[in-house]
Formats: sequence, structure tokens, C-alpha cells
Amino acid sequence: MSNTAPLLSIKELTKRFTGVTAVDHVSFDIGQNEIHALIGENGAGKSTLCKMLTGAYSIDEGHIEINGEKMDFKGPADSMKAGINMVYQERNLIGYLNAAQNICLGTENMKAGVVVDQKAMRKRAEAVRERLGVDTPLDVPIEKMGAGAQQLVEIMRATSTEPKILILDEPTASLGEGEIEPFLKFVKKLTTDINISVIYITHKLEEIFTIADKVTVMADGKKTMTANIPDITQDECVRAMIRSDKIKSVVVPPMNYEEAEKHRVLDVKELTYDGKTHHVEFHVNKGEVVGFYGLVGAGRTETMEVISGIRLCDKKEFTFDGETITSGDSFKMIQKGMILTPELRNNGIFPSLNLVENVCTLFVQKLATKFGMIKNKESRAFTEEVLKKNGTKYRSKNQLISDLSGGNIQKIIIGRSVEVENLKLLTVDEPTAGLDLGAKSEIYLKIRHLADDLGKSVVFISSELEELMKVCNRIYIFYEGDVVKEVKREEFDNHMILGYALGGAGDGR
Amino acid sequence: MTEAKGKTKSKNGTGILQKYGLLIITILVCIIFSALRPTFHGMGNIINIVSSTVVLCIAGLGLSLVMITGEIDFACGAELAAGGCIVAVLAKNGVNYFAAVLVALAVCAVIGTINGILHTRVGIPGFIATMGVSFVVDGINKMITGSTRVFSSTWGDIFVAIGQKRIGGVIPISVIILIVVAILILVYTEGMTNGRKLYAVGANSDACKYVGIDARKEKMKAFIISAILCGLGGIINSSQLNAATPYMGDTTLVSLLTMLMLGATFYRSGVFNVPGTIVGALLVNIINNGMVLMGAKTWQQYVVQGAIMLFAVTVITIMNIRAKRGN
Repeated sequence: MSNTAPLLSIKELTKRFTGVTAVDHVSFDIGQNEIHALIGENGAGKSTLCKMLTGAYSIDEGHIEINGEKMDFKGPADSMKAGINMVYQERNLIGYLNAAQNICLGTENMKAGVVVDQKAMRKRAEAVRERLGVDTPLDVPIEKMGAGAQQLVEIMRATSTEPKILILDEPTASLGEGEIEPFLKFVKKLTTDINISVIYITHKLEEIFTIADKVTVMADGKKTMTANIPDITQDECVRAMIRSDKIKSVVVPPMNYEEAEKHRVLDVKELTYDGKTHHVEFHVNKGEVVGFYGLVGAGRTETMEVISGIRLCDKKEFTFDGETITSGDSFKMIQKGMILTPELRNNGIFPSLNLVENVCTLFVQKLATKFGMIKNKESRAFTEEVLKKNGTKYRSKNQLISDLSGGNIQKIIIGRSVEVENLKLLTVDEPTAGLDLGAKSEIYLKIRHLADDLGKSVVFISSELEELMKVCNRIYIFYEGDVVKEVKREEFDNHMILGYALGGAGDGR
Repeated sequence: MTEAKGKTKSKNGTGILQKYGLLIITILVCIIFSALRPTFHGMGNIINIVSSTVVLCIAGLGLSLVMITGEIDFACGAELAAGGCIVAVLAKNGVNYFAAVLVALAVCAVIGTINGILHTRVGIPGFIATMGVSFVVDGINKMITGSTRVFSSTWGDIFVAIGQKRIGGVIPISVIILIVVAILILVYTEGMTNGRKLYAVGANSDACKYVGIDARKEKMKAFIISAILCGLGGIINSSQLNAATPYMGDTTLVSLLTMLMLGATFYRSGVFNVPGTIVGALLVNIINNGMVLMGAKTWQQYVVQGAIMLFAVTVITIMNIRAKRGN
């Protein structure tokens, strides 16, 4: 592109952890004003690579050059000074502070050295806002903002240090359907507006083709490809990302509804929670995967949490496995054979506990003697069985669960849930959020296997219509807390479903 | 985002140093004191060390349960004093000693229940709930004792038995009580389902409802056991002193927190835990005892105790950070 040295040059970068090479001699260049996508499965080494760029990890081999100058980062401060800043996938904002305060967090302007100068901070934030050309409100507390606005505040904060290179780690993972496109446009504009290069980590291939100039693909710690965007196809990217045998297609056998209706596992009409009665007329048959689709906040999660006894409610009455249920906490519902895996993966795990403890917490009663003594041997054997059955990658049963990747954590959460004795209904809430294609397809297969081979029922809550249409027998569409439409597989049509979800199509209810 | 290829080498296998660092430091401190003062490792002195640990260690075991769940029992000092005062006042008024002990423990259980209800049912933050309870209990302690030392020459030998008597003239009864309590609590937290739930509540109380654990119930149990054990500590303390005062528990919380914080660097690093509390309690007392044997002045004891603690925690923290950074 140019005859001078590239803005950022990564040379033979290598990082080893005990026994594993997480990043293996990776080299590529990033030019001025370039959006460089970095893709790969979970565990491919993208994050480790970026953590070396930000100085969070030390470098074992190789080095980084900025404008041809060799860098030696002792820690994140050095990297930031050299012009690299990163926006992490998780939000790092203080909820009760407003945008201006968050942007200036840690670098507050002071009056006379003691009092925080709100006016000066506000001015600084305004300058940043102007530079980025956005209209995010600066005086609303962060917690009152939507995910998209929060994301912008993160980026405003990161760019307030005027970096040359901005790393975005899965920035659209938390955004809703309508927020993604404007966000991508914004990033694209950013590169020229404030003269910056972006390293864009993502799982979503469509996004790359919308905004990136170049793409680097990683697999198993190695770089498998760097290419200019218009020159390659989506398929080539996928092939570089995963060994082809890992993506399997999902087969949904045709359903005989007349037969299936005879075994209704769950039958719901109305639920009253948050002081309002919601018309959620739906049912789930035996051996069926039912999808819940709707916008964020349409009441899909709330409905299943009320039914599973996790969320407090004012009134509930439904039929589960032929029994009318009007009360019961999650412990009771799990014993009856109904369990839900949480929307936020972190709500399903105990980060400071090891794998055995994480798997067995759900089965404390089963894996203990009458007097409540834990059977250690059985617990370990059981854990191993669950981990093996679900193809989890781990080093030791004693390692902390927080060391595993999102995909592996999800496998453990779902894996242990299906071991619940006499399980009849599993609810999975956004099980594939933030996972890569390989891990996603494994989850789909697992869900189908549960329904088709084991005769369990599954409620699949998701904001990705595509995956619901791929996996489910039927889809219920939620709008403002109510079920507004039931669609059978034969009638699946994404325009129609989206229409109902937006509250437009049909007469609503 | 985390990577599937394990990024840390800590907490297991190669992480023995991190996991058991505090114990190694405790042993090192013992070796140093033994080299300097041979009397240090005499049987008599070892029993001395352990028996001086008893009161705080028993109370600390109780408090550990609450701290594991992520809460704090601010009232542990008041509960400790309540245990001692109730027994002393009742015994002075001619009540059978064992009956008095049972009454004291029962009252403590009630205090713990109130703590638990205020936090888990009413929903007040644990710190504030137990702080309020602590003032009320403190006041009642002063009321029943008349704000002064309670002593009687008529309550007889039985009052000092559990604090001062030795079985076979060697092992103090209090040490045996400590060992029994420690084993029971160790089994409770490390071997039983209760403990697994307890650590789970502390690790992520939001996740508990998804796996069918009632976090409120576990916290409730922890508050009750904590109060009972603090009370037991107070009963033993009053027996050791052959008297009780409502001021017995004034410095308890700070001493307990010291032990527990040290303990949190042991075994499950970064998490309060029962094995850690035991080692922490021993380390604190070994340092105190060793310094006394060395003929150190009080101010020197404070300095050395503080320095060793900072050193221990610093070393272990640095090891953990290094393991996390992967070099």
C-alpha cells in the first residue's frame, strides 16, 4: 500500500503457557486507516495476541513494531503511550456515573487539586464526542443507556487518549438487531474521521465483509490466512477458521403434530409478574424444540424464569407434565425435571470454584451420602463423564472454570443441566451468544440430539432468528411480554417473523 | 474473553507453592524461632501456642462460614462477650454451670437467627444488619453485668474447667474442644454438601438459583453457626479468665479479620476458607509466642507481626499475579 513502514507490524509473535502455545509465530501488518478484522474460533489465540499488543501479557518470542520502531511493552501503560488502546468485550463502565465521568475516569480534571471539575470533564467529553461525530448524551447515568450507547461510551473513552490503533473485541456481541448496522457504519467512518486504524475481533463473518479492509484468520494459535477483503469469499474464511469436519449440518426430522400434541410437557396460558398479567399462551410437546423469538426485553427470558421458579412473580398457573403448578422455587422445579440455563453465562458458573465443584453443585444431593457427606470419587468420575460427553477442552478437573473459553463454559452449563435426573424440559437462554461457528453448531446438534434421540423437550430462547429457524420445530414470537404468534416449521419465513417481533405484522394479538 | 488453551498454571499441579504458601511460611517462621530459642519447640510451649489460639480460632471458624458466603458478621465480638457474660451471670446466681452454658449457646443461636433474618428475609445489607445487632447485644451485655467484671468465689472449679484444666495434666480441655470444633467445621465445609453450597453462594450467589441452591438458607445457617461458635469462644475465654466482662469482645473482630485475611491466601487463594483460617490463626499466635520467648517488647511484637503478615501476603499475591500473566 505504501512504501514506508506499516503503522503496526507484528513479527513472529509467540506466547506459551504451560504445555500450550497459545500464539505461534504470528506475523501481519496493519496499515494507516485500515480496519483489520481478526477472526478465529474461541481459543484460536486472538485474545492472547491482543493482550500482548496491549501489554497485558509479556511476549515470549517475536516483537511488535510501530512505524518501523521496535516496541518493548512492560505493561498496559507503555502500550497506551505507544498509541494502542483496546475496548474489551465486557463493559468496563461505572453504571451510576454519566458518560462524561466515565470517559474521564482515572484522568479526572481537578479544581485546586482536590475537587473534581465536572465542567472541565464535560468539556473534554464534548470534544471527544464532537471528534467522533456522535450524539450520545453525556449526562445520563450509564446504567440508563442501551447497550449500543454504552458501547459508544466505551469507544469514546478509548479514543480520548488519541490512540493510533484501536482494538475492538467483539463489539457487536451485546448489541441488538437494529443497533449493529449503524455501529458498523460508525466504525468505518471513525478510521478516516479521527485518523485511526482498527483491529476488529469478531465471530460474525457478515460484519467483516461490510467494514473490513483486510482479514487475518487464526486457528489453533497459528495464522492461517491474511487477505484483502474483496479478494476472498466467506467460504474461504470459514475454511481457514476451522477444519471442515467441525461444522455439521443440523437435521430437523419432520414432526407429526397430531401425535406430538398428545404429550404436552408444558402448557401455559397466563403469567402475572412485575405487576402485570402477560398473555403467554404456548405449549411444548415431548421431543420438540420450541424457539422463543422477540426483541430484547420482549419477555422471553422473564416468561421462562417465572416458570422455572427463578424469578419472583405475582401469580402463575401452568401445567407441567400433567401436573398443575402454581408455586415452587427453582430447587423444586429442578426436582420435577425442568431446568433453565441462564442468559448471561456468568450467572451459570461459580468463577472461583473448580470444574468438579461447578459441575457437581447441581447434583449435591445425588452425589452425597444420606448424611450429606460428598462422595468425592463419584463426583470426580461424574465430572469427567460430563466433560467427556460434551467434548469440553480442559487441562485438569481442578482448574478454575473461569479459565475456560466461553464455548467450553457453555458446554459445561448445558452438559450438567441435561444430567438432571428425569429431565423433561430444558430451557436454553441465548446459549450461543458470543460463540464461534464451530461451537455454535455443536450446541445446535446437542439440542437436536436431546429432542430427537432422548425425547426431551427444549425451549430455545434466542435473538438470532437464523439459528432458531435452523433448529426449532416451532417458534413463538414475543412482543412486549406477550406471545403474539405461533409459527410451525413449515411456515417459517424470516420477514413474517421479524414483522411480528417488531409488533407490526398482523393485528398484533 | 478467555482462551480455551489454559492461560494459567495456577491453583493446581504446579501451583502448590501458591496453594500452600502460607503453611510453608508458617513452618519457616517456626524453624527460625526454634533456631533462635530452643524452648520454642518444647511440648509445653507448643501446647501453649495452641491453647492461646483457642478462643479466637473457634470464633474465627464461625466467622469464616459467614465470610465464605460473602457477608460479614460484625456482631461476632458482641456474641463472644454475650457467651461469656451470660454464663458468668447465671453461674453467679447459682444456676448449674452446664445449664448456663446451654442457655448462653441458645441465646447466641437466637442472635445469629436475628442476623440471618434481618439480612436474608428483610434484605438489609449484612454489614449493617449485624452492626445494629452488635450494638443491641453489646448494650444488653452491659445491662446484665452492670458494665463491670463478673466474678464469684462460689461458682467453684467447674467454671474454670474448660478454660484451664488439662486432661492427664498435659492437654488442655480447651484445646480438645478446639480440635473437635475444627474437625466438625472442616468436615462441614470441605466434606459435606453444606460446604459445597456455602462456597457456591460466596462464589456467585446469582448463579445459585439456576442450580437450585437457596442462597438465603445457606447464609442463614452460616449466621447461626457463626454466632454459636463466637459464643462458645466467649464461654471458654471467661473460663480462662475465671471472670467475664462485657468488654471481652471489643477487639475480636479486628483480630479475626487478620486471621481470616491471612487464611484467604491459603488453599483456595483469594477466597475465605476454613483450612486457611486455621493456618492463619496458628501463624498469628506463633509469631506472638515466639516474640514473647525472644523477650521482645510489646512494640517490637507489633512491628514484627505486621511485617511478617505483609511479607506473607505480598509473596503470595505476587505469585498469583505472575501465574495469571503467564511467566
